[in-house]
Amino acid sequence: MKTRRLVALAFLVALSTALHYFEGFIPLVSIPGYRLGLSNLVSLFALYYYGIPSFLFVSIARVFLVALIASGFGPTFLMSLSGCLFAIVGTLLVHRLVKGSIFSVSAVSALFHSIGQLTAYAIFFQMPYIFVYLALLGPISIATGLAIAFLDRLVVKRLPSSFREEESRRRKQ
Amino acid sequence: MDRKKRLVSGLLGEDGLSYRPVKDTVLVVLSFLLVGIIVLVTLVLRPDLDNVHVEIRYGRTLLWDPDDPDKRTDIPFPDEGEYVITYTREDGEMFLGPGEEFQFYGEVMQVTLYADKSIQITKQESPRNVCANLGRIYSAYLPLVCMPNNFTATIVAGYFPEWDA
Repeated sequence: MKTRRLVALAFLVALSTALHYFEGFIPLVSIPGYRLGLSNLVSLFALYYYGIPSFLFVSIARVFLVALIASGFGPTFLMSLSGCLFAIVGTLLVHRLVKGSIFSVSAVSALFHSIGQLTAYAIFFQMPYIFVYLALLGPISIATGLAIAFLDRLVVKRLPSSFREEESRRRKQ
Repeated sequence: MDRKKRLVSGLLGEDGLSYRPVKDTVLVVLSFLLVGIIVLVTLVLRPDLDNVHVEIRYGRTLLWDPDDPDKRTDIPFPDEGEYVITYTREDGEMFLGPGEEFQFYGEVMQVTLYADKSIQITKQESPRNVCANLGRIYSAYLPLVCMPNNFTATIVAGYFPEWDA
């Protein structure tokens, strides 16, 4: 892997971790388990700018880094990892098989993330009726996913042209 | 086509960033459908709600009321008023083993059970008071989770039905 790509991915992981940590301080409607998902903005960017391996790296590395820095390797980590893995499956399904746009990829990814977290919770605490909470969490996750996709699209399109030229040259090699 | 637009579409696939009315709408609708199906299946398979009790856990360890000589882990609701269950750090030895303590913020954790079959965490210390902000839970499906203190209190109605593998 080229050094430049490695550095870029490291930066993306750091940015994703920082966003994940600081979004907890944003005062929103208090819905247990709900987050804005700003770190998914970075993961999606990695998917659409660098490709699937980079997306996988950024997503999974962020989960481990947040556990190291903040939450520890307890139930929260398991829920986060489960959500991440489910989101990856959903993302790849829509992105590669169905070939949806960034909007459907993000919405499905957000929903699968919630399902993954609830699944981990149901298994860890032996409480399968938690899935009824998806009635509240599901639509909010889908709506947030669409908003994140919209923001991501703005970010990608506003990259400096020199940055995009370089990536274009690298891909032609 | 403008040079910048050509670069973007060549590099990232303009289609990948543009909303596709039919495909994306179908996918979003299917997502909502999936949510509905999961919620419906959970509701259909729910157990009987008449006979409810409370389960309190520290991590995965089932706790009982420290004042209960019978050490019942299926804690009943009071017939009237409210009933407060208090856990101190030292109570950890009773549940976790000799020399062990509950690791939570503050000195006590209090869970209150009400006669109307609801529960609430009434005394605790946690970052930004997240546990106190959870409020009162009436439903058997929504557990009271105090994640910073690793405590969970749930209204339980029987057992989730088993199905054949």
